[in-house]
Amino acid sequence: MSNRYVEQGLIAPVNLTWEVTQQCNLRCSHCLSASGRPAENELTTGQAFDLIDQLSAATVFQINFGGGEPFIRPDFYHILEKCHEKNIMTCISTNGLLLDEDKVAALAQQSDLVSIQVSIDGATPATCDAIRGKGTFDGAIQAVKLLAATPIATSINTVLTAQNADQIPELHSLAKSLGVSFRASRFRPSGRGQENWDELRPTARQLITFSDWLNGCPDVRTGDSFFSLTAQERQGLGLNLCGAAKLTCCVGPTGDVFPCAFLQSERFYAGSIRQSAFIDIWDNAEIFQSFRSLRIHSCEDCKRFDQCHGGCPAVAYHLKNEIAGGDPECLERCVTAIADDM
Amino acid sequence: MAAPAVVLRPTSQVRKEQFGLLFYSSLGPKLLFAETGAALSCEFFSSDSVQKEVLASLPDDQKTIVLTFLRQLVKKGFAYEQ
Repeated sequence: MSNRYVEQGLIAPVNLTWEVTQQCNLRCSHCLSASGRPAENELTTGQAFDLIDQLSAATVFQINFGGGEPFIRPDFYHILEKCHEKNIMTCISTNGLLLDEDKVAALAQQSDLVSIQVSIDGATPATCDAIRGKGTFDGAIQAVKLLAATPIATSINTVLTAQNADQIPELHSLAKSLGVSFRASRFRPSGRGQENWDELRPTARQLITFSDWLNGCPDVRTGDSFFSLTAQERQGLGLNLCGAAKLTCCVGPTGDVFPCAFLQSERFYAGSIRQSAFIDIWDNAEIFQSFRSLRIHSCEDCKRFDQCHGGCPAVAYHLKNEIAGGDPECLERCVTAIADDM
Repeated sequence: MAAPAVVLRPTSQVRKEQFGLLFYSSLGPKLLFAETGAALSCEFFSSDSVQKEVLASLPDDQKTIVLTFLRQLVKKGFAYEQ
């Protein structure tokens, strides 16, 4: 990663998260955006198309669709088609429950440009359903099987929690047995995840165990979720700094723009695409400028600083109300926490 | 020096940045920051004929640098030789 170029500011995000709706057919206890009912005044199809035109003009490479459940939007296939017409790659995070043979076949027509992450949060129905709701494990597995029979790049995505931490190797094996890849994401205390943080939060020992396991599994993808937790061996596989407002940002269901999906609150509001051109927000929003110049000075003396640059500001904010305070769950702090308990 | 056409993979894209070219591959995903300055444009990857034209216009030392860079692009999985 060439931090120098990233910190001086790119002309546009490399990718962005677009939560196309807040509506969801599930009520997962860790949901980062507390999804359920649709937000008031969600973007119309026309406004969504206009945003895609703007993102294409800005040369954004990829849109990561989330929500809510993206497939719950009746116009979602049209939104996808429009992205692909513009040669924008897409990645969809879904619970899989609304996918059937016909819908998967339609997606497969665009398989060069789309990838899909199906959320499964346990290797058994009991563990997964306790977090995501009754029947979600079986439904998601059915969706993965349909997708695995197509050329669509598919992965099982698991949010690491205290409840499923000991099932991660089993989930990895499950993904392999289904012919798809495995991706692990970090649980962060935002949305409904904040309400259930104490119950779902992995322990320091679980995080260390996971980190050790991850180091032996280069095929497991993590996005930027665990850059503050992974050892040097995995550095070449991902980021070594927070990409918010530098490489990525988030557009919410109503068109509000934020540095990342885990910081969708007024304090981090960068603008609305209903009122400003996307590229003006990217270039000029004060909150984006502050993220680009954010330095985690309290971490600079740490031996791992070059590997994480202070970790995830969103976790620091939600747990310590301090964006520049250093990631409270970084590898060094996990090791220290375990040593203190001994 | 023979110069095979180098084609970006369908999973790869490129755009112009201040420092040069930024390559993106959805496999990973991964990024490549290429400090090419104004020496190469995105259009270089648009067709075989454009590549030949650009390479033919370069002095030998610059042509060697560009060809080495193209081999790196192939090696890192962003492109393939046609």
